[in-house]
Amino acid sequence: MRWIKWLSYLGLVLTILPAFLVIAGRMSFDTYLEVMLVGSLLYLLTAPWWINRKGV
Amino acid sequence: MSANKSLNEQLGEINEYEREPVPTHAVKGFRSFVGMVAGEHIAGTEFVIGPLFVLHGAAAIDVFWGLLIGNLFATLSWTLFCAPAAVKTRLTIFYQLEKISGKIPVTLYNVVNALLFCAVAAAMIGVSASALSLVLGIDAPGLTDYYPTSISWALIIFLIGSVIAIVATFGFDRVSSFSNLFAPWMPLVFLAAGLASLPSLGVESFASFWQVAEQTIWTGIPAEGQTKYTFWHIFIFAWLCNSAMHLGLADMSIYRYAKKARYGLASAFGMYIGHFMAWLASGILCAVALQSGNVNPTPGEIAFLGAGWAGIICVVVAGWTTANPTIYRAGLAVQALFPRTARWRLTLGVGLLATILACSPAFVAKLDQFLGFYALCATPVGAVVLVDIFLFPRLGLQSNLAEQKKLLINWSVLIAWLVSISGSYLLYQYLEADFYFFMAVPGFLASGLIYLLSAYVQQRYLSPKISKHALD
Repeated sequence: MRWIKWLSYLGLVLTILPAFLVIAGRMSFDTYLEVMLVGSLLYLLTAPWWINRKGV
Repeated sequence: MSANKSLNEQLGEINEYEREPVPTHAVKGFRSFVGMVAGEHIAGTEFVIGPLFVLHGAAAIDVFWGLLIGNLFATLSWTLFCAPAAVKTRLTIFYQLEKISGKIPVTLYNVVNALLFCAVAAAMIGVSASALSLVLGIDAPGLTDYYPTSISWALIIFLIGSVIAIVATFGFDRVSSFSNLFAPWMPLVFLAAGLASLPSLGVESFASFWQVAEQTIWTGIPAEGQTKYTFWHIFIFAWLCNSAMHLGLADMSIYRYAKKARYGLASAFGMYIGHFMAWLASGILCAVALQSGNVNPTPGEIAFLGAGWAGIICVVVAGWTTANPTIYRAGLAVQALFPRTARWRLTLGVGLLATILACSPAFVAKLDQFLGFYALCATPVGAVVLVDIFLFPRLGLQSNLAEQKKLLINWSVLIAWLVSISGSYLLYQYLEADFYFFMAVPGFLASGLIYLLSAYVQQRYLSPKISKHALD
């Protein structure tokens, strides 16, 4: 189950990182919206499998 | 729980310790509180409050310092007042107050509390529904509307309200688990939306942020028809918008599960993520909306503007994570009125009531007035309970007098409560204050002092008369 946890973390990174790339001028606003949605869905679909379970 | 047990049996087995201290084996670690408060204080309403400061012409320096210091005071109020009282008694405010005040005052308090909790939960359901309506292309009521716009909108309300009520029905563990799931993600959406919107306001680097903040976002000039907000407005709002929870001790329901009183510091996560970062982010988004010509943006529109579909999901979830603990608390308030009825049945009923109320958009439009009225009623009660728990033993006065003497009414409590509410309301009218929240602290102090004096007179000089009101 550890790999699911890492997918959740990746989802969180994809949620926040594009915003910094937009402010740094390295990503367009439209691409930011798309990557953020992918990251959010990745987190929301994987986190329920581990976040409230002990010892994962 | 056994898989072949009926749902009714499983729900009946969930013990929320409504009328007994939380036992040692049921206390929770720090992480449970971080998840819950971080989720609870990042609500859909943050998309309303942040823009409020922009529209009321708060200056950037006042917003930053006001939020920084106000949220510090709020965190300290939870840590120094609410959590110590909760950990010492391990009881809900409702049951603790019943022991102090007697059945009649606590019944009055519980009815007021349950109704106001339902009103707040209804507003959260309404905000979530507004975002979902945007996705489905259904016409949603605006912030000034009082009546539902369509049957489809009412169906969305019932869908969201049902999920919230069911989660709250399963008790503290499920409420906490639900918040834990979304707590790491929601702040990131707010932060990302705020940051990514900065270039459209002219921010080219972090160094140029402050200049844009002063000149374009928090300009210090109110919108037409709006009053001017100063440092004091921001500070008091940040400190006291949740005064019913901390100084009013409503969050004893939550912190009675804390292993240690210092877990009250977990509230800092809710304050600085939800009431600092999220308010600043939504203020930035409001400035973007104003710049694009939308002078009256809704929470859903603001979220969509800054974060697209992820923002819409965030607003829906943000409403849920705030409404869940609110309905849980409302269930506990009603449980105190009907101690022989299962908590889960009452919580489900309360959730249904909140859902029905949410069909009226007035509960969103008048949210600030409900919160102000809630602070008016709840904060003086917190002072009474604190004085009774911590000061009475040191002064040689009897704590929990109503329980000890079997009183239906402890008149000291009722006098302190009613006089402080009336007095602070009159002061509010006399000073023509902008916020009722400005009067919450005078009401809190007056109530504590009046209760102390009246209880001293009652217990030292009138104690023989107390037995006249004793129960059979």
